[in-house]
Amino acid sequence: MTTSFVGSSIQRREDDRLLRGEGTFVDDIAMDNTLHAAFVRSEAAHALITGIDVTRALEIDGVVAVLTYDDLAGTPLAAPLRVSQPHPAIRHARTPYPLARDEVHHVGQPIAMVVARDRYIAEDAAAVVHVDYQHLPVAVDLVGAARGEDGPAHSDMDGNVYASLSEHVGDVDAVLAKAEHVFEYDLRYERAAGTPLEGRGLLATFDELGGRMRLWDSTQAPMMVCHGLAPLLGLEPEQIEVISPDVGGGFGTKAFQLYPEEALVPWAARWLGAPLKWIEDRKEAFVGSNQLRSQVTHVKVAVDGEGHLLALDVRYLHDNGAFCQFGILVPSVTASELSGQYRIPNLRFSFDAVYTNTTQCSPYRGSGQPYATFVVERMMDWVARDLGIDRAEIRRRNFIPPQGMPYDTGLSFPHGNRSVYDSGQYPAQFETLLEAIGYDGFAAEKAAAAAEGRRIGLGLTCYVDVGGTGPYESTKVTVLPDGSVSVVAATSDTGQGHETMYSQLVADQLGVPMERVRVTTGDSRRTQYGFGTWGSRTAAVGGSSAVQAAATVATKAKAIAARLLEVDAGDLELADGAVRVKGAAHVAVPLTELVIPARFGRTSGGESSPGLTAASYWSPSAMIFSSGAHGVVVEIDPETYDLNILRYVIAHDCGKVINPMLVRGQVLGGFAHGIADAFYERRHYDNAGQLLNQNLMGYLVPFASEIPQVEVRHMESSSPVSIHGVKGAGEAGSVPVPTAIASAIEDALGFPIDAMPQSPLTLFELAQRHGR
Amino acid sequence: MPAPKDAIVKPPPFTYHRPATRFEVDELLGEYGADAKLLAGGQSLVPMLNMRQMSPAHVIDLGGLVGEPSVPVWRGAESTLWFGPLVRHVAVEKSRAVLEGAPLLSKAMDMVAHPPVRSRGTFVGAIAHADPASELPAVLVLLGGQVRVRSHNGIRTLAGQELYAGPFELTIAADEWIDEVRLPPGRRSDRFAIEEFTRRDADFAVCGVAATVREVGDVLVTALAFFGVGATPRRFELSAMSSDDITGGQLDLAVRELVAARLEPHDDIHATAAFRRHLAERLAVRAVRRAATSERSTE
Repeated sequence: MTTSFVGSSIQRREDDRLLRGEGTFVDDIAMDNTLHAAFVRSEAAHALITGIDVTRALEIDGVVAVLTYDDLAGTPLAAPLRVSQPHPAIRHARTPYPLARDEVHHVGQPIAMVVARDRYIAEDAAAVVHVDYQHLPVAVDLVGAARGEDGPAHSDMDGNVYASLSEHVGDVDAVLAKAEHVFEYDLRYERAAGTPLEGRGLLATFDELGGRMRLWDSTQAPMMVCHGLAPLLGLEPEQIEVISPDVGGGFGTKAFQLYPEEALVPWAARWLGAPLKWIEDRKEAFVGSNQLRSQVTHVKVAVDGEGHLLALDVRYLHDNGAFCQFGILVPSVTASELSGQYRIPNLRFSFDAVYTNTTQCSPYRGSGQPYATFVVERMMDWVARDLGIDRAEIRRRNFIPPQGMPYDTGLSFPHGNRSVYDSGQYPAQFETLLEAIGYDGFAAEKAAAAAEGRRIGLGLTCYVDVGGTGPYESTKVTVLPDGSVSVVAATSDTGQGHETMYSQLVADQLGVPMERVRVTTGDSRRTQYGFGTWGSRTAAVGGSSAVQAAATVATKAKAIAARLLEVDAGDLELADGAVRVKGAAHVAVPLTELVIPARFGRTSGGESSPGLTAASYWSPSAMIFSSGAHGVVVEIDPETYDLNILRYVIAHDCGKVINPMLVRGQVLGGFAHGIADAFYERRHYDNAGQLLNQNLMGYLVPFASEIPQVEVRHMESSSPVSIHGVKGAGEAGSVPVPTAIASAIEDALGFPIDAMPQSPLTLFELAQRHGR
Repeated sequence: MPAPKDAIVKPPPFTYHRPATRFEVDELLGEYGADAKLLAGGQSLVPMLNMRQMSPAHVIDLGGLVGEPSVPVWRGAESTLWFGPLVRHVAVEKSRAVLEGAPLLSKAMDMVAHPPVRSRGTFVGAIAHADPASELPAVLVLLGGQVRVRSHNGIRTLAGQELYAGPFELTIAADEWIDEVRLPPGRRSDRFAIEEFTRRDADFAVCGVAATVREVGDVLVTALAFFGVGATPRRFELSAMSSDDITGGQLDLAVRELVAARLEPHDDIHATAAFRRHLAERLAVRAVRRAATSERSTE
């Protein structure tokens, strides 16, 4: 093979189009006679609906329909949406009706859908739909809700705990009972949310004659939406075309399915016989798009006198908001990584998943992982403190060594394989970080700053980050009659650069220039089986399926060329758009000349199927874990308690790298999310369940000015699981950041930081409480 | 106003007016008064309309006023710095007349929003919007500026101090509007500083303070105006201090006393009243010290 695109920082093929404003997002797609939807959303956190008056809305010229629950009677949309991530531990599954039936459970829950000639009119009409509420007790505080003191969030339940899960390795109780040291800690993590630049968006049109639904959906999971919609629309999945066009960010918010709007818009488009569009506005996104967790944890840890971890017992509460369409995915992901980078022979977790009258939760970049990192790594700092051991040293004493790989933590990953770390160089990675952040010289640096009245602190954290979750991903690779190559992947690009990434992988396998590879993602017209983009999985799992499919095509091409050239297939290679004899490049046959023989050839002649085409549904046989270590030096203003990040180092290992520039983009983008999650973004609910910061002035998405420079050091532990050694890179940048910042603030201010995110206000209050 | 075909914003319905003269604005306000809103740079009004936080029946766009200056003007005869209704923030920021006549305002402009907002938003609009977290009303009040208020009934002048009734609320009548803001020149020996605390760069202030320090004989007279803390900007004078008092603990005591006695900070998600009080104290001390030790700006 002469070409090698994999490993090169190739410019993103998407950028020219996107930067010129020539991208096509859902709202850019225009169809004649399109109707527009707006939603009437609950203003109450928990209430019975005692009346809905739509009279005034219907009187407005241009209003086509106002739908409430009663209008859906007798249709599949009259039932609650289904749990798309079921789990046997769920005792009380509660999911929303697409339009609220008689009880609303959070502010923002859709109650009525207005359809009008344009969005202005739809908004005018939605504003005059009158809803009468009879208010019910509200559960907001996680602990109060879990204890049953608040709520219940659902009036047909006694309490708010809907699922409990526990798992253990070894004999935790026995070790805790006799260990030299047992420490207990409490931790808390508040609620944030993904905030994609482009909100959700839908455009649906039904072709009555052809019996086909076409839905443009700003989603990360078009195939899941397609299969989820089928029973609601009474259609076969193959009659439903779900297309995710350019998507302006997802971060997990758009991996969720089905949102109520996602069911209602296509259904109503068919019912009304006209294209129907809904574009989420920012206000709706704050209350209607999913959020991510609060969690409260109690940790008991047993160590010996040298700081070796002997047993860990983690109990936590997880706030999932009003419903559980994603089951217990987030707290289960937390559970699966409670071993961190360490050998912990005895390990137990148990959690209660709890309903509150707040917007539903589902994964957002990192899912439950930032919290697992927070618990494990804060604990490491505190055990070091309580034993009087250096915090770097205690980590060294507990790392899983490279020769211990693969390492079975004994824990399970939800809906998948066991939580087995496939590879990693934790100790070396950590030493790289310590050197780069200047750990050894920091005590002197801190003392010098203190002499000037400045408070600086150094924070450390290690982390693992799961990528490559199954069950499988699908890619179809086809050499077209003109010799160009079509790649159809089921995953959906939300800005990562998948077109570039898939082109690099396939071009290498088939020996064609990258420009000759055309990539289609997220289009259920082209592929039916597959999942989507989340959990750092696309490059590892989708990428493996692309490599496998392309390799199959290459094998077919060689088999046919071998017959034509009368040589052994083993002597052939693919390069420069042809199959040629190794070492005799002039003995070659172009791919274009293989297309017809492949199409007409007998399938028994060594090829399994006709055509220069192959589909792969590659499925990982085990979990794939990236890893890394973050270090940060912060300064806290002693008067305003503002945070200034003086330096930040990321040591990062995501296995083999397909495109270093794309990986850097993912790491830095994740890092920015991590900074947001550490010090800026937090959903503030009051006790009545009203969201106090419902816009971007109150909910502080950091600007570029808040994101510091960062130094990134790469390591490469090739994954033995994925075909091409690739791990995941999408989330790792964000997962450890709040923990590193917490560690640094604690070092700077001298009191424990056991909750995140922090803010100048919370630090001021902590300082007062600690008499500083 | 009919909806454009590809509507991407969605304010509630209103009637749009685009007068060409200040007189026509007077007439329109005389007719529609409380049902009307003035649109200048649109950086606050348009988002509020799109979020349907307000639904005025009439929007009067000042953008069509003919012959209005686009930059602040020094009027030697009146000895004032004069701002017309269409002077955008960026023009204030870059104005030499402002740098020389009101250097504190030049400093404050660095803190006002991001460049895209400054390129559209207007100075008079920000004064009239009365956001208690905005720097500009505090600067107006601290410097003893005036506003010219007009209506179909006539024209009058108000001191900045008398303009503000509460958050986003003016003392003027529904048919009145502000067509000019005037700042008096400071003494060449006056010194200034402005300090603020924001959660993100260029956000509205959680708490801020502008300070002037003037030499009166052997002592320094300090005046302060806070923003982001309290409902309206007010000007406070500290009792005269020596420069040693200012670098020493006397200043801290005086500021603490002032903040405790005169400010009424509020609670919100970014700061409790207690934290705002703490910030007001620390920022005021910083501002006064910085002003007192700064180079005299135009000497």
